[in-house]
Amino acid sequence: MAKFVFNILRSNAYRQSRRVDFYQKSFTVKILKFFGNYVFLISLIIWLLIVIAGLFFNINFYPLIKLLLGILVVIGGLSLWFLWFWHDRLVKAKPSLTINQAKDIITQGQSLNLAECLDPENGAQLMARSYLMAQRGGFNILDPIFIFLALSDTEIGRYLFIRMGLDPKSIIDMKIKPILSDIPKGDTTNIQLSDEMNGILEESLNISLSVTELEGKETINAGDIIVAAFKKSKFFEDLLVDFELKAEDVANIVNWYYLQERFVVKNPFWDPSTVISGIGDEWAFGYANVLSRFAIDWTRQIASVINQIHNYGSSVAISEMERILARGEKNNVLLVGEPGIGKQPAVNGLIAKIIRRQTLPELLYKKVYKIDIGALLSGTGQQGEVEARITAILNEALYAGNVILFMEDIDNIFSSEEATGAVNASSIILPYLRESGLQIIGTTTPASYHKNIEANPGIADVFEKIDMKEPSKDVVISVLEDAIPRVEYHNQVIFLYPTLKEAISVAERYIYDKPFPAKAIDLVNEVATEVRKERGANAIVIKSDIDKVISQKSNMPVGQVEESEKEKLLKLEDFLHQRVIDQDEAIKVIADAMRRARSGLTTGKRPIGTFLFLGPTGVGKTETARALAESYFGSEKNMIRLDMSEYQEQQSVYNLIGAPSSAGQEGTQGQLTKAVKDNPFSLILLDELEKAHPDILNLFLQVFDDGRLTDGTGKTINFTNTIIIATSNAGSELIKEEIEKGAISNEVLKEKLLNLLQTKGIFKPEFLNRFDAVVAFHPLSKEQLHQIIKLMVAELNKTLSEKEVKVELTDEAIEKLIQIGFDPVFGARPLRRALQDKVENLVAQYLLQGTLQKGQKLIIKGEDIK
Amino acid sequence: MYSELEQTYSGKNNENMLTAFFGWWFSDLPKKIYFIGTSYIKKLLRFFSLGVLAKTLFSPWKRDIINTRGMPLQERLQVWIMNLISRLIGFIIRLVTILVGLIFIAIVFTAFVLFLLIMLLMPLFIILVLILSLYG
Repeated sequence: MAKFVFNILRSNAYRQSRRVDFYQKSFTVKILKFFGNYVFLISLIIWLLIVIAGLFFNINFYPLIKLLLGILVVIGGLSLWFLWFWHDRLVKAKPSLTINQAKDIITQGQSLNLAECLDPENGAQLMARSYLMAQRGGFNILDPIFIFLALSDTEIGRYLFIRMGLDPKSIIDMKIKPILSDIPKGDTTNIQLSDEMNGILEESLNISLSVTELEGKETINAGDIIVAAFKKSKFFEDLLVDFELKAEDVANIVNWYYLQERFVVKNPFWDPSTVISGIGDEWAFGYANVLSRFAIDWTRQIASVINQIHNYGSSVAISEMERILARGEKNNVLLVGEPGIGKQPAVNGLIAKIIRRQTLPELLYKKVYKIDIGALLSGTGQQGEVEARITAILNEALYAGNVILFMEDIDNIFSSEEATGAVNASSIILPYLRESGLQIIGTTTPASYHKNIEANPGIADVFEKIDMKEPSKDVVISVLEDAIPRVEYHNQVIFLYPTLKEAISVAERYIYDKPFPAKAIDLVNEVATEVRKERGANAIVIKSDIDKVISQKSNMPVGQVEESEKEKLLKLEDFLHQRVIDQDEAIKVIADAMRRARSGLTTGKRPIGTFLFLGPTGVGKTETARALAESYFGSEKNMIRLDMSEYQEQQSVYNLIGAPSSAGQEGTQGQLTKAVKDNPFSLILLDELEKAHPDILNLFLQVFDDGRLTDGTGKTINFTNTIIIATSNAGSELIKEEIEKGAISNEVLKEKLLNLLQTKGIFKPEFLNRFDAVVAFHPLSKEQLHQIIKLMVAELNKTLSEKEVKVELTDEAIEKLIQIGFDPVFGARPLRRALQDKVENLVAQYLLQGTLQKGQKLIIKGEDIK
Repeated sequence: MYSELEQTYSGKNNENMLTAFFGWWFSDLPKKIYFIGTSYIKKLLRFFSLGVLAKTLFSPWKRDIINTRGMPLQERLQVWIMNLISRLIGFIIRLVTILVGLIFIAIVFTAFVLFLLIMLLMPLFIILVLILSLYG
């Protein structure tokens, strides 16, 4: 352990912190500021004029006025003099001991007062408050809980508690008061540090040292102490557990606080960077009259919001753009990325750098105009008018000499399709782009790039392509931290930090139609609006609000398992048995898998469940899948059913996953990949899987392992929110034979089945091993068929309930139906047709004849089934 | 910009008040006024675009010239005069702006020098003000 003492009340840092406090709050200082800043300047000018008038022009004013003004000048001057000294030497003085000096002293084995390294503006204030709280309470030991108590009085502490969703009063009542009695009381003139407090101070020194080179930091601030407390104190660690956070999250909240604090600091009047554009900057460049009609001066737009522009995650793309735009040839940029990945923010970041004059000299006076496609196309009646406007814009931009045109979805004007509204301006634009005078920044999506730009080498050659990658989660957190204050201000709600993390986590798992950061930003906006609508202004947005919105969007249960859902999950077997008779093992395996998925035991990197149902036709395999789709995804409609016998040829892979695009031709979408892309929360039923081509089975190996599949167009389709059920009749004979032989355990039957499938080469072992469970469905007995008919009749009665009539079958009638409907090959499947022919037709006839009327019950006996 | 300014302070918070005061008066204060003064002059240079205007003093106003290539001699002469007028307009406006900018800079420079003198010679300045107020 490092050797140091900690005596906050006798430290210079504490004395300075009191001076800072006085400087910020004292009325005397306010009076001095008034005299020093305003009275001095005004009285000095008037006094000088009077003195000059008297000395040189013999114009004399009342001597008393001159004397009064002179006194005001003296008071003002002295005020300014004193204020500046106070501010520079007493308030903003350097620490008497920097953290690097402290490190050296500790390394040499000497002792020091670590309190000297504290930042007077917040670090020393926080620790002094903690110390004084312990002293006032008569405690002899400085424990970390006093930091918690002191935090409630500080701005950073209040910010931290709000973002954590923590109510300090309840923590004090429930957690602190019970343990205060364990802290020894005694001599308060010599309060000792607890072991944990020693650890916190040492850790806060280490934390501040870790960023000293990067940020030029010299002191330990309150943020460092807070993060260290959450790392080294049991009390603070327990809070992390209670609020489902990590120490890194606390560090993020602290950084968030400092980030917001930095943005509210105003630039001083003498700061040259406050001049966005000089009055003569534009005079050396041409007019922009046409551009101002059909384009937006994007530089001016960004200048008005420049403080809100931060280049999180796009600094690499911005540097690349600067390099390309500054060079002599091929100096047009094409940003390629999915919508929402941050193409426009990257352009905004570039413009902000130009405005702040932090860019390359070649770009210093450049102005970016964003083409307004609406204005460009509106009011164009005559043929060729759009082309004429484009030509005028290009001429003006070229002539101006400092214009960069920004075109979003630039592929639209290079479209080779002859659709309504589509314009092919490539022949107009290309000659301009080949000259180095005109520069364009275009954006497009990867698919449009392949289709409209790559296919035309002439266009592709004049642009330098920059691929925009999806940002990492850390970057997305920064982007959200930046965006959330605006969302909060707009909707008058408050986001907790765990909510922010939940937004990123669920957006990653459940939103696939757009990339980060757009999907996270859109989600928080949507949730904020929803919360404001439901709970009014100043409502706090919590994790379950995010889960609720995502559940509504995906129609899938997300987040904490609620009581009603818990009940449903625990009784899933009963729910499935309402539709599926017998097949206990299959039902149990499926129910177990669903419970695992909803309890958060799955990794989220594979499908929710993958099952292979084996057994003869008509034993309930499809019905089980339907029942599961209804129970888990809310409706049978969320079942994607594919008859795998249609995919027997090798070429049929393309029907399943789509065909790749070739030059100028868009790829075709696959039946499976398109269905999953459109509805990622679904049950996929692969009927008669054994009939599919082996190449297709290999495709599913990847789906089962990674939960994703790349389609023919190169897009990755996510399968992690699907349940995949494959059915097969292979081995049905074996099942029948074994059942007929007598009682056989499920495990033995399954073993024999798997052996058969492998030895006959129907499925490879590695394929079978990928399934979460291989389930054997037994042939149905007569008793079970009896129950199935009862289920079918119940279903029929549900339909008839609108007409307020009911049907009942006697046991004799059911027996007769079984004799007619049961088929050893097709199982229970023909039963439905038998019910239609023999029962439903009869009911229809009676209804039409009027024999069966409202409120009546039709009892069908054995003799009625003919 | 703030941190740049704060680097000019050399005082520590454990030094003697008198030493601190004289150290500030004759070392930090001139540095601070010099820093603020030069920054403000840079701001004015940027505001009046003095660098760009000086570099493009004889350039045509807003690039407003016509290319004479391929024109008959008489037309070329007319266009050449028009182009010359454009350059002349550009020259006049730029020159006026440069002069106005320089005047502002001169005023600001003088004000900062005066201010520096006042702050450095504060005791003398007080005596001077009182004498001039009473007897001037």
